[in-house]
Amino acid sequence: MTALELAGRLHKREMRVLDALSEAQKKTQALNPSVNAVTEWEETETLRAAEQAQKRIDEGKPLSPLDGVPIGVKDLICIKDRRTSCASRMLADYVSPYDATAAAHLKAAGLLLPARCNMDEFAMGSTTETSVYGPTRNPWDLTRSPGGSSGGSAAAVAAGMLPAAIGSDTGGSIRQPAAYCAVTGMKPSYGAVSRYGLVAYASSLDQIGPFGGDAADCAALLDILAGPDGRDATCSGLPAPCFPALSGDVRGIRIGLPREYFGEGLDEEVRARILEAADIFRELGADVEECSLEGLDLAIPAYYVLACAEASSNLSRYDGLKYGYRAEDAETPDSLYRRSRTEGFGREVRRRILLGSFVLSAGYYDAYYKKAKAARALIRRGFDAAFRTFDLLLCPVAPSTAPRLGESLQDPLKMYLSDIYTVSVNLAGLPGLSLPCGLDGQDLPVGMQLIGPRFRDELVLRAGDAFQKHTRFHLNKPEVKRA
Amino acid sequence: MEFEFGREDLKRLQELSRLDIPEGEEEQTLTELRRILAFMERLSAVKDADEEGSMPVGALRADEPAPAFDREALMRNAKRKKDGAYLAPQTVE
Amino acid sequence: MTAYEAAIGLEVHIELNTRTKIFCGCSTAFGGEPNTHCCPVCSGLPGALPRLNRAVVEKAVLAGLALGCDIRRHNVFDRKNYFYPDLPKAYQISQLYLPICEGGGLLLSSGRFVRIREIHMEEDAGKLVHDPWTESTLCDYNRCGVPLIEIVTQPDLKCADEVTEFLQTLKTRLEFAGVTDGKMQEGSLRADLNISLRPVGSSTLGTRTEMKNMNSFKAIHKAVEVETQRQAEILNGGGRVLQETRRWDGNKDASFAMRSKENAQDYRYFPEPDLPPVDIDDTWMQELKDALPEMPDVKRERYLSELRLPERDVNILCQSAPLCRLLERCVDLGVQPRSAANWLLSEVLKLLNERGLEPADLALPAESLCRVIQLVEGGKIGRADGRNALQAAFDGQTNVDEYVARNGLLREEAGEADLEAAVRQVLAENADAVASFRAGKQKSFGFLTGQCLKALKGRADPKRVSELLRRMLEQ
Repeated sequence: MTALELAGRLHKREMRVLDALSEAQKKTQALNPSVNAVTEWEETETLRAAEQAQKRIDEGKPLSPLDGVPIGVKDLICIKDRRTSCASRMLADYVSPYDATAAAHLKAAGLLLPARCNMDEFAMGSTTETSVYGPTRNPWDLTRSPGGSSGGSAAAVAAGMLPAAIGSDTGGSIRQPAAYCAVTGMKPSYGAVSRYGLVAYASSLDQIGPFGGDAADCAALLDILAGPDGRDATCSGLPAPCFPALSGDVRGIRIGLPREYFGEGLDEEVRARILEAADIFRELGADVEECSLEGLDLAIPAYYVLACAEASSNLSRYDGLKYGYRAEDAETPDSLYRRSRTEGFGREVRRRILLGSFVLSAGYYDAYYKKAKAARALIRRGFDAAFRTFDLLLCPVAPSTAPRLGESLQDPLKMYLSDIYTVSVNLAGLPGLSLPCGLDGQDLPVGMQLIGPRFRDELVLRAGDAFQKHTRFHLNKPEVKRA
Repeated sequence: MEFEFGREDLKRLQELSRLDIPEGEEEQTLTELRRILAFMERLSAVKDADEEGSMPVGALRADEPAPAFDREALMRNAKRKKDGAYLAPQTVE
Repeated sequence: MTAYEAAIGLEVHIELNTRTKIFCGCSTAFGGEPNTHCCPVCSGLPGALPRLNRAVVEKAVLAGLALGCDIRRHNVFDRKNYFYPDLPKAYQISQLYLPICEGGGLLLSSGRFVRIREIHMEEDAGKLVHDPWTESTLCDYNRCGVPLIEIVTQPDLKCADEVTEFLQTLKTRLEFAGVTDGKMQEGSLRADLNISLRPVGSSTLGTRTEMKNMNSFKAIHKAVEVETQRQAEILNGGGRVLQETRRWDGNKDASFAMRSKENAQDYRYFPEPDLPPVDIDDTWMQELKDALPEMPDVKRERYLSELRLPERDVNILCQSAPLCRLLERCVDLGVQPRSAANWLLSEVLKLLNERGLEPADLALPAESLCRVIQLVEGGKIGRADGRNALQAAFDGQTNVDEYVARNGLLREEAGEADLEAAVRQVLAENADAVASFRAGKQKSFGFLTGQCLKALKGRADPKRVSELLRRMLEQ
């Protein structure tokens, strides 16, 4: 059941909120030992919220189309009085004293937030294997990764524990796990959703976004999440709501297939599934043609230079002094900082901080940081040019399907390179939707990516929704082997 | 050609980042960083470009006081406090 | 022996007098219990983001206008990254590449023009206090995020006297611009001194040393003297001055080298990704130009020519924006400029000094001062009683009429008959004064008036008394 379908049943009073919540909890309890998608389940406050939701529904006054629906939230979005650990030893016992704006929006819409979803530590990773809570396993194949960094959110929805979940995407962290787990996930335009209360990884790239059963779920959730916020100077909201724009119609929409995204390194089965999806769009009346998109070869180095640079600065505040992990018996502030940070942060986080310090350091700033910014501008211009001819772009999400657990961390550079199709979208601040489009020869999910112009999130979702109204890929659910 | 990045460079980064490399991981960290930095060298071909304004310019905030944030709540995650202040090891002047 | 001249540059940090901090809505009030003027933003909690206070930009621009600077229209903030317990985010949001003001400067009385290189906006850091009981440092972030402008000069200053004159003039102008309260004991002005020596006539700068965070003019003056002396002795002895940061010890009147680690900082500046650039368009720029208050030099001319105040009074008044504001308000309320100036410079300044306060601490409402002046000049209360009423108003009892009534200070007006009787008595008892007045000595009139007032025990309006006296003398 999608989140909207569940909400429909709740609001028609065919099902009670407490029962839906209880079912979700039971499902999670049954499957989480195998999947490890959820790292915390909150009962007391959620029960209270559920009772209030039921009351509102009984009075015919739901706060939103999703009032009463339980969802998961990635463990780096601050929720007041809840543990917000970023899956790190550094914040393992950190309880936020305030709500992220996005969390406040969800609460104001009546959504229940019982579950904390697993993630890569501080959102740095593509496999959800760097979490202090252990890896999350792909519900489609428990020996494989669900992707990352929002792997827990994707897996929870894929396994049917929860109908929807919220994640964050800096270089593909929503779209890639959505593809690996056969759920629908959206990275909104940069500036659509407030970042206040999103523990920062890379400030100019991070965005909070939804996972759901389909594009309609994502649209409904995005409309709740998005909006200008006085606490975030980079947030302007969306010009128009997305859900009402889901007309199901893509006739005449021009969709480009950037040939650089279909080149060497792309798995044959993945390529095949996406080209088949392109044909389906043609059948639906869209004009689909090849195009060229500049700058792909610069995307990974530009992304990692900028993301690591910003991250190295954003993570400097974790020093044991004000909150978080504190090393014992430090005799000087510097010693406190060094030991707390070395002991509190995992390997991937430490690596990215060192890289970030390097590219910003005296003597290297021009060669790396400045050049990365120039590359970013080039990539943006490339998209601008493409969108003069096309309304949307269609391409893969990842070069392959879900990797096996334990494989990726051996070769960090190789892992970084697998982000090739997603990072350019973050660099340009564009909306990107990942939706299932079939399986490969090993019955592993393949996802496709729809990219739109900045702040045309509603168009991207409309196209995804139209695709899903005529196909059944998103209805495939895995049989999760229980532990 | 191998990217020039040695132990001294690594030590400097550790100092800047206030991070240590755990025992036995130094060699591997060096290798990894060298590979990654060498890969990033391809940025050198890019022509310098002016940063275009890409951020929506938010209105500035009015000079109006917000309600005071409760100190208890604000500091509740601090491991060591005294008299409402955070406690750090002694700073050397 | 070579003759050396000093080249001194300053980095002056000025706290702007906005109500809230630069990047959050917390109060900028001085003092307060530790961490009670704080929030997730200024305390560096995970997920918090900065939001720029419009008034900070405006006051920075006004400061630049007051100092003759060019105002940059496209502004960007940058992060300055370093670790220290008083910096909760481990970076300070400042401006390196595109500061808000450039150029400008101040003319000293010697005729030397001291150039300003740039002015930029930044946030202040917290306060660290050593705790001897636990051998640790207590960190209070109340001051984190208080808005600062940093004014960087070229190394144009040549001696301690020039430095203090420059700082005093700077402080005064910025107070008149309404951007700072200038309360030195509250840290509203702090200066870093960059001092180097070079042979007279040389155009290359010598090696400089730095002394940071000086906040008293006396200490600054001494420090400049001592440091230039110290460097001269080194150079004359054939040695080399080390580039270093030195700590000034006011108790020993000497400076000490700090650990050289301070000097090897790599701040890894990069543009602040959480804040969009600030663009000042033509409309806003014009609004700010129009909003710039009258500067002390212009005020001075106006006080002399329009208000006709004596030069000595004007010189004192124009050093203090709060005194000028009070004066102008009193004049607006109908008090004679001279009376207002008189009372301000004699009584009000005296009260400030007695209590060890600065004009910036003045909380006395202009209305109260005006009322006292009105009552005294109207003969309704005596001058001594007026002083007491003023002191009471200064200390909080701002309703002057209530104070006067409660203490029964209103003079009973002496009746016409009593007046005549008193005057007649005085004339009778002072025949020689009467005679000398009639002989042309004006001074005797004053003497006789005084005697009459004395006899009436202050129960009469001096004007009425002198009128009556004159009439009776003419008889």
